[in-house]
Amino acid sequence: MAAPAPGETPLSEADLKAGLVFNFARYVEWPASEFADPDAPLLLCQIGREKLGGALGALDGRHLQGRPVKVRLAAAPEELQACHLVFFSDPDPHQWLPVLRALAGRAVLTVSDADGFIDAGGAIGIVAGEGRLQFEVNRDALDRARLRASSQMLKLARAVIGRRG
Amino acid sequence: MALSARAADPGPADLSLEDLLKTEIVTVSRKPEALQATAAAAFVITREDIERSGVTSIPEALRMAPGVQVARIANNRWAVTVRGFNGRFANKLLVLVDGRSIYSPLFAGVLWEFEDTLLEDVERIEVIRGPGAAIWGANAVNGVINIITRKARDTQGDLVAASAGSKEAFGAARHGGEAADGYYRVWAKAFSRAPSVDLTGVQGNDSWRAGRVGFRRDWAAGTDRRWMLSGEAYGGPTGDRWNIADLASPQGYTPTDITEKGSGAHLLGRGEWTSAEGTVSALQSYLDYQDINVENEIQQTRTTVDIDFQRHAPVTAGNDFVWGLGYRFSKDDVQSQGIFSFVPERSSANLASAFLQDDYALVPDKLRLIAGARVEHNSYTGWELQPNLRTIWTPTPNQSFWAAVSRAVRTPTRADENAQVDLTVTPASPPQVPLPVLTRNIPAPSGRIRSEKVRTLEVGYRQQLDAALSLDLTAFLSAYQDLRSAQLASQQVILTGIPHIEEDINPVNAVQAHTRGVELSVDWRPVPGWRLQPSYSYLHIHAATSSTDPLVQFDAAGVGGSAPLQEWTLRSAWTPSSRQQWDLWLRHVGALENADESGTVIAAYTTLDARAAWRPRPALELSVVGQNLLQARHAEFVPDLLPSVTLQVQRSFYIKAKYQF
Repeated sequence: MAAPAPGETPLSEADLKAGLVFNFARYVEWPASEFADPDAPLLLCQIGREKLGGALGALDGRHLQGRPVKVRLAAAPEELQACHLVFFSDPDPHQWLPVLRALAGRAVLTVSDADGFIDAGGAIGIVAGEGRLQFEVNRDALDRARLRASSQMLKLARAVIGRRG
Repeated sequence: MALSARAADPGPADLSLEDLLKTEIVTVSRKPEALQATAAAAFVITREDIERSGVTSIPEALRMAPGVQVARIANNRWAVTVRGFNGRFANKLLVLVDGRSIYSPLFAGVLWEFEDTLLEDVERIEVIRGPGAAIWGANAVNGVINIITRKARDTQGDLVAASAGSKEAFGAARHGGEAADGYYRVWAKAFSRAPSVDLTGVQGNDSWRAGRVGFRRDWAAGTDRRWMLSGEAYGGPTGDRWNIADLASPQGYTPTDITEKGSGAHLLGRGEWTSAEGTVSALQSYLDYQDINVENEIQQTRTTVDIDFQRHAPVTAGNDFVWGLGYRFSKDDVQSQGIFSFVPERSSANLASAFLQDDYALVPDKLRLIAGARVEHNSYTGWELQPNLRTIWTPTPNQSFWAAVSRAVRTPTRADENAQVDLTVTPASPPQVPLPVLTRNIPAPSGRIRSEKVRTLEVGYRQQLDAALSLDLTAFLSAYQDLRSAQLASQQVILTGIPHIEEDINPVNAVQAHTRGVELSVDWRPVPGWRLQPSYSYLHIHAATSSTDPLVQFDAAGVGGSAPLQEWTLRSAWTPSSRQQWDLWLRHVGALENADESGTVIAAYTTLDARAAWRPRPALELSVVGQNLLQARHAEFVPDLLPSVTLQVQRSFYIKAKYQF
């Protein structure tokens, strides 16, 4: 697919990352116990200094898996209580690593564009390569969070580490 | 599916995953902002920096970092240092590739003609100016450079690249794939470089050909356990022209073309595992073999084994502890003839080390204090202690101030202790000097050579002014003691053979120096798609000695002239679309005061590299690169230690094709 034709507003990198985050949520299954009722919202949270700007906010109000999507910009780890997906926007591991560890064991899909995110235990990392965005998955992190990712999505990942077979 | 703005709210959520992954973007790649939290003068040369600069070797890539002085001595040799004291075998810089030291104890420096890798596989080059000794070890006196290669999973698929130009041609191929529990890559590279010219325009003998193969395998064993194994093997001839000291020659030397053959291989393994509480442990070991053969002069085979362990505990009560242990054993066999004499022929050296560092949050998220120390025991000087203390204050998330005081040492090596070299023959000039004088460098009496020492004070400031502009400023003061210089050991008249005066000089730690300087780098994106990276460095060196020996005084004066006073660099990267790249790199290097025997002094120079790249298809990139465009030729360094002829860097260009599938 070529770059947008003249006159069209090109999608920014932030927009594309937000789109990827939305799609990850589409292809991942949370345990039923994570939702109070069939209409309970899917809470997408973001934490970190950088932020994807308005791009993630644009997802607020859309629908995924039959549920409304709510977007929350968290200023502190305590605000990540009810989140189903957390996007770490801070590139500094000093900042996101302790928060990632604190989420261990919870059914939260952890996503980031920071370097080495999935090596440190994050579930999905967005990486840049050859003029496009790609993503890589840590299957062990998904397993520990009791999340199931569709094989269709895993096939599109540039790399999958962790449990095989 | 068109990405046009529609009447209804357009959005990234409307695109399928496949479409998102296919969308080409002008990647506004971020400078790795883990740097924001570093209490040191750190600079990262990213993969994109390397690609856009058009460099074809690691030393050329290092020019992009402020505070690093790179001078090209010939097509195949460089003098690289940080913050002064440059030389072909600059010894105050520790250079690592994935944690493996590439410092050669034979000459106490890096043999850049034998160090290379597939540049497409370099993830980033971390440059830390200032003593990095606490974590990294001795000889990181003025800085540490760590060249980090990409993970195997980031280099999947096949890549073929080739280039041809006025001075060099190269070809490389790489294949990356999945294995049972991880990823791997294998690659091969070969290149050939034409010689450069000397000061009179005569072609030199510094042609260079080399072939290299390598592999890397990454795999995970269970949760939180990662392993990596990598290896390389290389070989190839290079050349030089030496003005070999010769009593029989009326001018005192005979220009001789020499051939230097180098080959070697290494194997490196690394394991990292994380415990349930979050303690990260890493164990790394490597085996390195190197063979250098300078015909009729010197042949060396060297085997090095190194093992290193580190543990990084999770933060407890605000303390972030990391500690490590290491051991290195290196043995060599040196055969010498001609102007060289290394005694003993066989030698081995041990190095044992331990370090500890605590990063304590005095005020969480705002003020940190980092205290560290490294203690080492080496075969030459015994115990050495290298402590440092750092602090970093982050008043707002976008800016930080840091300061550091540290002590580091440069330990003696085989070269300092055991080398005897015929340096020069000064023809007779009667009546004052009735006979020619042969000057020889002889080893110091055993145990007399001490480590060189430095104490450094640094302060720095970093700010992200807005999303598109950031700056990084460092200032430093260093005091050096026990710097090695040469002194007159003995003089005697030899009447057998060709009568001459034999003047023996040997090393002594008799020079002190003070340096002060400033380094600034800026990263600016004035409009989307255009990135400007100016940088500037200033370095003033003052060296002195209390010795009355004119040789020591001459060396002290030479230290002052070993680095330019100022250097600046301006890189521009313009990316009008995802298919085109237009890059310029303008750089200026100040004059070097040190002259060679013919009185040549290196003048200041300003030069320009330019690159244009197209992607007619996503998988194919074609580029044209011009280097050193502003002058037909210029000299960057006067050779030291070995009697090479001064050569010039010429204007050159190449075209390159890279295909990934």
